[in-house]
Amino acid sequence: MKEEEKLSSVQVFFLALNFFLASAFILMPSAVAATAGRDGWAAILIAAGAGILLSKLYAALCIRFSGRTIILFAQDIAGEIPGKIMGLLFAWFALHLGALVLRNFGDFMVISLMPCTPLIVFNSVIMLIAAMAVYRGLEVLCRFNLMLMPVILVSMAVIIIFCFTIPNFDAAKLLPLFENGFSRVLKTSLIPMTFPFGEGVLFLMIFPNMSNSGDAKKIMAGAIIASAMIIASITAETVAVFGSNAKNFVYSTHSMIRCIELAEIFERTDTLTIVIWILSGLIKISVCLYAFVKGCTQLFALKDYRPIVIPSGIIMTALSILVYENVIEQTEFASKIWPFYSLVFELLLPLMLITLDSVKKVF
Amino acid sequence: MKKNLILLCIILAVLLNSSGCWNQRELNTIAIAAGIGIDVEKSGTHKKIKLTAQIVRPARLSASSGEQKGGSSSQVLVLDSTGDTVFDAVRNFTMLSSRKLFFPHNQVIVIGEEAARDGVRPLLDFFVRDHENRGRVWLLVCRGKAGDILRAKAGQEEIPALGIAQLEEAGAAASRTRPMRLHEFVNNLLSKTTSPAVSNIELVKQEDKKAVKLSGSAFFKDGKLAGFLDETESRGLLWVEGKVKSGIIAVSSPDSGEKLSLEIIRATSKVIPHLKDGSVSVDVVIKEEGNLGDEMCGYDITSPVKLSIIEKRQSEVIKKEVEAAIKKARECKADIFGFGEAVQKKYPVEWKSMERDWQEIFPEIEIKVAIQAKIRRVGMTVKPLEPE
Repeated sequence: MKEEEKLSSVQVFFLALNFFLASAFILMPSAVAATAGRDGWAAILIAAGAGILLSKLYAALCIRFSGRTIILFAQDIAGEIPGKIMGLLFAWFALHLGALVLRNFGDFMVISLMPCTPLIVFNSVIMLIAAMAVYRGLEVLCRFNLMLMPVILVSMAVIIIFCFTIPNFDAAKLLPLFENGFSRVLKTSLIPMTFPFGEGVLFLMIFPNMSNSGDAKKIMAGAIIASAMIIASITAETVAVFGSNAKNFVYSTHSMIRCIELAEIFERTDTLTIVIWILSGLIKISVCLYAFVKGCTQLFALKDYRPIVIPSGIIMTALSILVYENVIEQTEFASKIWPFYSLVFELLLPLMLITLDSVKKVF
Repeated sequence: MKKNLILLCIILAVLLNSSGCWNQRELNTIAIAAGIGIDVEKSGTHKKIKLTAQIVRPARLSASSGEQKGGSSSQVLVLDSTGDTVFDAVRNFTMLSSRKLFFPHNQVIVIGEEAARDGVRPLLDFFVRDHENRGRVWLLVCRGKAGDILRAKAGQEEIPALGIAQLEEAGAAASRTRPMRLHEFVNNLLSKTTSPAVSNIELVKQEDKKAVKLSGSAFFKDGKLAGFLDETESRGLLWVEGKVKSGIIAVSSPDSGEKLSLEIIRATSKVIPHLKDGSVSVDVVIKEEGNLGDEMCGYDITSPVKLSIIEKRQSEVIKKEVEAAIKKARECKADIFGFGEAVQKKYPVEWKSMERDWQEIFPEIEIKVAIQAKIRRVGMTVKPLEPE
């Protein structure tokens, strides 16, 4: 096996930040508005709190088994066969998540830009690039991400600032707060907790490569706080612009950005959404692909992960086409099934491992 | 090195040829829609949607600067199409237009009276759902057929739809109609209690040709056209909404009864709902600043006392306009001001029991209008043009 690649804390921080922002920036405002109405931003902030707790759990695992990924230490803790089953489940989660993100990516391009282009064109093109990034290694992926980060963050800042200039922007539309009770908001916060914050569980595959893995807790908490602020502010803005109509848009962020017109010069800024979407979606898909590929490599004790990058990419692309029949199914899955389904991998699996380990230590 | 160079050439060749969209459309294959009119055609129980599209002729536009200028040829082509649904009608255009309609540059949507009375919610869904349409398009209602509006001349523009769009923007200088963009309208349309208003446009004669003119506003209740506001009532609505940008207030002078005009420079408004013993009241506070614009009455405004008399009269005129709008809204039981939402924001708990009956509650609520109108400047001259 090639010698381990070492990542700096800054690199992992930005990788995590981009990972959390990627699809949530576009999808989250509509997702939380569906149940929490105009209080969606609060649900995101609550979810960020929960996400920080989750990432504490991941970081604790990482420190306890420094240098080993979840696939390996699961076998240490639970024994070979149960550990392998857990590892397999984890690898499946990475694959499935990657496919879902890829599908979201393609759907967005088809729905909002090019309705006649087949989905597979977008999905395979982006997968090709993601596979290339993964093939080159984690370090390259991180450096690539650092290069994209300024573009993404500046675009997001431009969007967030310019949305204030939309003629019917009115912060009063956010009132009254918590009209349908705070419990509604709490329930809704399960959605942003499992997507995107809980998805940070994939970083259990990346932490071992950090040169200073003691930073993991700080890094994840920082990335979650920063991304939650950005996502919550864009969510609040969609409500301030569209009011009760915000929940009716498939991509309310995109629809809002289309309304920006500043001095008749700065308009049609929706291309910025596409820029963000392609660049940060690409990184998220790459991370998922890396987690899956690395997981399989360790699970089956392969020498190198490179040979299976391309086949895994093809599987992921195929899965992304197959997962949903239509966009309604997707919304249904994302809001009703995903929060509970993903909790198995995001909370149950790591929690089980750490409890088992603690129990073993006592006896 | 040589290998890399070849590789670079191949990459460039592929990239340059594969950029762009799968189903890209060039300018010469699309028909740019500048304005869309929506009407309904009824025969018995059968209802069809009739769309009128004003399509830009780019070739004519460029030629107009050269030798071909003049003549009767128009810069736009106006076509009608019918269908069972809006989208069906849009697609049916392809049977009479050689090019496919292209919506991103659409400026206005005009809805005919009959179609608007049947309800606009089903008509507008296409314009919100389809990705080619933009929320910034202006929405108007006309008395009669929308198709006739799109066939008439509008303003000084070569493309009438563009003229209508600019009328909407220029209309802010008079503040006598309620300009409304599609996305704002849709937002209001989803409110259970607010009755949104949009500009009303009508046909007039200008140099023996049909032309259009903005005239007051039209308001919707439950997604259906419920009535029209005249120009005074429209301004009353704008006062309450704080949307008056500019305009002229004609005030009669205390001695002669002749008029002098005050130009509105800025205006703001505050709507403060109160709930006392289960009954709702609303305070509307309007602050306005104006300048003396012209004097046709010979009234000497130079002393502070005399100025304050005019200020008082100015407040009365504003108050009358607001009260006219309130009267109309009460008559039609239509909450055009969005008072319901203001109550909801302040009293979310109590609102729940009111929401359903708001239509009945609204006409009964007490509305207190307080105006603070100021005159700041008097222009470049001081006294009227009269010998002392």
